[in-house]
Amino acid sequence: MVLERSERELVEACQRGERDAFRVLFEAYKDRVYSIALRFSGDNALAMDLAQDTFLKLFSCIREFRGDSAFSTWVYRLVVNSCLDHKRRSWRLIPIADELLAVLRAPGDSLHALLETEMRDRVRAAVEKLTPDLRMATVLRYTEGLSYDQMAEVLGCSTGTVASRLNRAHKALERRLAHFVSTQGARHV
Amino acid sequence: MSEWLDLQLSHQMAAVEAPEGLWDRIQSANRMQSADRMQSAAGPRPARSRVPRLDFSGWFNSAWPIAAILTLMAAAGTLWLVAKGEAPALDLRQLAIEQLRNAEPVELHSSDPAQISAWMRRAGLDVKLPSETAATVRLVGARVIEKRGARIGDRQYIGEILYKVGPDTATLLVARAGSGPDGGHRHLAWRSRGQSYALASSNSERPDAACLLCHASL
Repeated sequence: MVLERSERELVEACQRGERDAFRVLFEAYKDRVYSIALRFSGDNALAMDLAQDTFLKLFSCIREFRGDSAFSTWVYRLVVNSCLDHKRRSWRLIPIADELLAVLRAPGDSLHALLETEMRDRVRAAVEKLTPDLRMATVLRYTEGLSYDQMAEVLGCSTGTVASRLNRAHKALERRLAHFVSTQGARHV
Repeated sequence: MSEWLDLQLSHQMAAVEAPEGLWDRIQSANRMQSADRMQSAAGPRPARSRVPRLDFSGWFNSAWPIAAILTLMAAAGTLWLVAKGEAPALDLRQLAIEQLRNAEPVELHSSDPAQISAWMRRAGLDVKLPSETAATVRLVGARVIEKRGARIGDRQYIGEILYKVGPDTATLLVARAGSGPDGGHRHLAWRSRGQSYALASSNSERPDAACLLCHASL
């Protein structure tokens, strides 16, 4: 039974071309891949493209996986490379419209909802303005909760570089959100 | 502040569930990508080597005088051509690349080559698409760009046909060209029978994959 297999057996089954195994592997990783793509790109449609691209690469290259690193690390590298390879094409309008509609439709305290939306937009916009390497470090840390060691393995750099990137990302975000936190921060700290 | 930021990032950047349709979409793309899969590269390389550097501040500071001079030269050249009564050449290839970067919705959603050709004729453009394309090619639709890139003082339409090649997006731009000899397929842009053509693909490593629209094999 495919569902009862360990991940190693699952990967081997995929390498043999078993279709059911691909589906199980997809189910195991789809949320992680999509989350990284979404948080990095900030756009639902683009995140779908990036996730699709990642899984197509995964399925076509899985025979190349030799088990030198954890399989999850290998998958993370795929999605990170897909994200970094992608050049941002256009300003997102539809997601913003979606968010506005969601607020307008939200029952209850609309002012609170507006403040929440404002907070979310400010934080995400600040993250999106980070350079790709700093943004990816932030996504891996806060979306996936990876350790510095895991991030270093995924990004192909030292843990010192990871720490440096996160530190620079924090400083940049603090600078960009300084005005906002002075008026809103007291409620959250 | 750091604690506040930590909390906000954990909250606002939290993981989400993948949409329901993702698997179907991958299956569909996978079928179309069978040819591309043959040429796919070996496993993923460490991401570090591919992180782009976006710090242009040093470059900008030293290059802006050159950019200003080049802009002035281009403007002077344009004025000279206008004074001579000749229209400046339309850089369709550059426009095609920009169209891909700033994709806008198509006006006609269709995967039917005949329907797209008929629709283009209404804009005065004669585009003959093959009735059968490569297995990896899927027509998305078409639209017309008005005025943009047209000759100075002229009103011109540029037709855009959008299509997918495997997972990549590609575009074919067609515009009426002035008098002049036809040219061969050079750098994904060419001229034939009074029309200019340009191709662009979102796959920067294999831009010539866009040619699969008309050439079933490369």
